[in-house]
Amino acid sequence: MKRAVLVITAILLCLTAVIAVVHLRTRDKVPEGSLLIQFDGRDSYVRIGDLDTVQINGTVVSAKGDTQDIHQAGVRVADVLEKAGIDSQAVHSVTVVADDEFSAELLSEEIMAPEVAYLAKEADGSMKLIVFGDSDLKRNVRNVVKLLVQ
Amino acid sequence: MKRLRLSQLIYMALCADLGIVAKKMISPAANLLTDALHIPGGIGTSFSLMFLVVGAVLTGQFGSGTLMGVIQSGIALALGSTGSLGILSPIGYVVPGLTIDLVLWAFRQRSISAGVMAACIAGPLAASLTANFLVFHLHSVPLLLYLCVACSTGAICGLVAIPLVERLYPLMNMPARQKGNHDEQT
Repeated sequence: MKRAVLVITAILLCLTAVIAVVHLRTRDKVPEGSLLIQFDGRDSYVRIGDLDTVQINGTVVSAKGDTQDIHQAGVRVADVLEKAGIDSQAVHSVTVVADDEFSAELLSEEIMAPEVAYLAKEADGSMKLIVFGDSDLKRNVRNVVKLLVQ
Repeated sequence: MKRLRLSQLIYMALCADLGIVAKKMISPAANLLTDALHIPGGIGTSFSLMFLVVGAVLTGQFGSGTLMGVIQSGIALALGSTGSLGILSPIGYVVPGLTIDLVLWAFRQRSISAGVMAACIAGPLAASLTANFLVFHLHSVPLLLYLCVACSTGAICGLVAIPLVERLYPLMNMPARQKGNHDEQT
């Protein structure tokens, strides 16, 4: 039995290693300090440093019900799309994807609203999605690297 | 579910607590690995569920895994360590607990090692699928990698859990008088 257990573990580890190599080779590579925007089958990159920053002020609510005041610099999601040459009016939804593939969807109304959807600049230079109005930080996407525009 | 002895309840409470603590302790190291693989998790939960498997095997009662899952979800909610599942975290604890119970029940006619190994793999797999369904929404290769990492870590935890169960199981199923003698000897 001991031998069978070791064999099963070894097989699973080998399988994981193979899939990890495939994943790391096939995933979209986004240069540091940039955001990848995918729209209509085209890829475009927006440099975070080139975006016009705004001051984000507001309150978000955690899963425990604790409120957290946000006072940091960031950019509106609509401005990022505009910078990539996409008309925000024509957008149905945007999937915001993190470096670890965690994602959240924004609807066109949220993108178009003046003070709802932001990408906040973190201290380490990464971007974090902030959506005002969520009841429990459901869309707390950290280290955003990609926007999939539908 | 039959009436549980006090010693069984104590073991279950201990295993549920150890699972939560193990997850917290392993998280920093696990995050390094998952960050490198660009997946949202899958390692810490396996260590947490290993203790549920140990507890479920030691009590030998169907439903004890689920009960420990409920206890863990209560503790996690009370401590505010709900992770990415947020308010849905009870589902993320109960589903793997139920899976562990079902797997151990399915393997009841086979050796304890086989049941422990299968439960240690199936538990994290169920937890990962639940988290993916509720929160992560991964697909294709990232999902496959996420599930494989969970299963592999579960298998490694199985290697740890098997000797643990083999040493504790005879103690749990020893008559009280004999157990007292054993304690005196050790």
